Amino acid sequence: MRKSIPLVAVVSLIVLWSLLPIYWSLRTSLLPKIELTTTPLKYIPMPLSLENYQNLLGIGTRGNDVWIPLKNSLINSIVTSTGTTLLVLLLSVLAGYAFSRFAFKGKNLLLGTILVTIALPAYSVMIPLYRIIIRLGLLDTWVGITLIFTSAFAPLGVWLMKVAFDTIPIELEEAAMVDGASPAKTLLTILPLVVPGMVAVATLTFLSAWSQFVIPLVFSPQNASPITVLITQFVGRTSIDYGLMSAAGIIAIIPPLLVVMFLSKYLVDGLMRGAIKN
Amino acid sequence: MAARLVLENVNKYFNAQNPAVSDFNLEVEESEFLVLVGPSGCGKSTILRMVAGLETVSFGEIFIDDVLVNDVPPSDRDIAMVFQNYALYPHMSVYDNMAFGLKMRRTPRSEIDGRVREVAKILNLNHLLKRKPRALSGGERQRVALGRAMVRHPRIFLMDEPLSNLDAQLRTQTRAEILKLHHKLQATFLYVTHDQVEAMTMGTRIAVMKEGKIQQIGSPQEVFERPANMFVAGFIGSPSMNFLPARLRSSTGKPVLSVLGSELEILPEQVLPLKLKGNGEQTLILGVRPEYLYPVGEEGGIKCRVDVVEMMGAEMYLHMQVGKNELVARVKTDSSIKPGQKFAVQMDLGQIHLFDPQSGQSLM
Repeated sequence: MRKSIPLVAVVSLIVLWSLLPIYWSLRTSLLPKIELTTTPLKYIPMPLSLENYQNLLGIGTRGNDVWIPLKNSLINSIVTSTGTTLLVLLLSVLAGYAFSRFAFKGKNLLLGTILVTIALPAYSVMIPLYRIIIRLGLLDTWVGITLIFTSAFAPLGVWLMKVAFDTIPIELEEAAMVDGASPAKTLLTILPLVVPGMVAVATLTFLSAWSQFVIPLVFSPQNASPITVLITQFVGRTSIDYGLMSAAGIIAIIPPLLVVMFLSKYLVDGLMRGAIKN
Repeated sequence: MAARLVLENVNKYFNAQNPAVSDFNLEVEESEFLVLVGPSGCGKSTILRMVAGLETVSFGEIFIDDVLVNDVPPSDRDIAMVFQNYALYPHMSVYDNMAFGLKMRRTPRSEIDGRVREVAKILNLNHLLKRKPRALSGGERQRVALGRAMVRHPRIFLMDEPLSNLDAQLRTQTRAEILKLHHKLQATFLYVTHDQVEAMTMGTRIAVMKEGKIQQIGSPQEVFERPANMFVAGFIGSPSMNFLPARLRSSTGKPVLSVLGSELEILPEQVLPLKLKGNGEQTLILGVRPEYLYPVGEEGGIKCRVDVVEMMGAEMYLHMQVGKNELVARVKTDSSIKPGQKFAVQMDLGQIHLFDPQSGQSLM
């Protein structure tokens, strides 16, 4: 027990470190505007005010002023993040399987190149990418943003799925082949075994896509702009609406939170037990 | 249903220097139980995988019922394979594991059900059909793996060391079960093992392999009694055959072997194929199995000192030292024999083998 005391302390510190900013946003979002600037600072939102949320959801004094852009940006975020996640999953499973199982010329070089792109900062490709997207007529569209996100997140997904397939004994596929399964059916047969890997890829991709800011700021400033970009726009000519920003931020946390809660159920281990005798 | 399997000059190269299998020729007759046996890395599993279609053939041809199958995918070869680690699908029940191959072949549901239940009954798996593989013991998993192959009614069964993950008792039991199965199904079996006991007890014929080449093919008895070379002689039989340096000369028409200071007169027929170089001597390797060595007291044979006594129950193995050579004798248990004891041993001269010291080939 004694050993765990420093451990608990460190973990608590990390948890506080992560949760405090969120708490501060929550507290700011729940305070009436005037209370934000009073001294001494209020650590607990009292009196409680739902004004910011009412305004965001179009049932407050500002009518649909904020609700319509919020709704649109939420839809944009959900569509691009979900689209990216599905596309990345598809690519990662197929490419990861190929990298794990097939021998082909230039395989290591190709895999290495893909991995290098993970380390490549997005800024370094921004300008050529901008030209490409304009040429394709995909600026400020869901498809454009989804394609850019996919190109950014697929490499990590491919790598993770390759590793996931590597851990599956190849005899399972060989048994399927001998039993008469086509290559596609063989892959489908063992797919349930890499579900934990797929969940990891989906979670990572969704969260990364959801929290992107600079790329959508540049590539989808208007019609396809996501919630991350919208939040920064609650800036008036003379004032910054911290309460509204914080409330929108809290709302923006909800979808990824749901995704993590839902998917983590499938991050089960032990699925492989009993496949082979070790 | 059983098929005839023919491999003609099959070669497999994983790299350009060392072939894993070279110039391999084998004919497995219908309903035969052929065992490929050899030490690990001798290419026996590679052969099996080439027959299954899981490995390409570098050169040479494989025929199943006179149809060239080199380029036929595994799914179309109508074979079933049992893997060393069973390769059961962990997310499927025993039933679904066994039904998988039939489902892939679009067999009607009612027929699948009938066949799975029939095989489950034979293998005593009835009560386990709904379980997942992880809830089964090693022996049960092994039976499911066998069952998965059986429901298909394949033309050829391929088995890659299917017993090596079982404990000794279960292994003996399953060995008998597989034999019964072979008898019942009358299918062609190609069975790979590194265990010479399995090979001897199961095979209609066995093919002993080393470094990608067949050393000898024959019935277990043939291979045991007339090994083609020193490798086969040493690999088959337990404990291994003893090899001793010997000199052969002719003394007044009678061939005489001198072994470790003893002179042994042998029958002329035994050396008939040997061309004795005039009156000159010829250096040979003498092989004798441990069961044909007898301790005979203190004089009158090869003088040995007992190093280690291995107690096996009714028998014991004596590891003995003769100069720089080691000899193993397999004798009836005798509690008076102790390590350190010295005595002479004789051998049954009718049971000796003679090998060429250079090539290792049998000279008999």
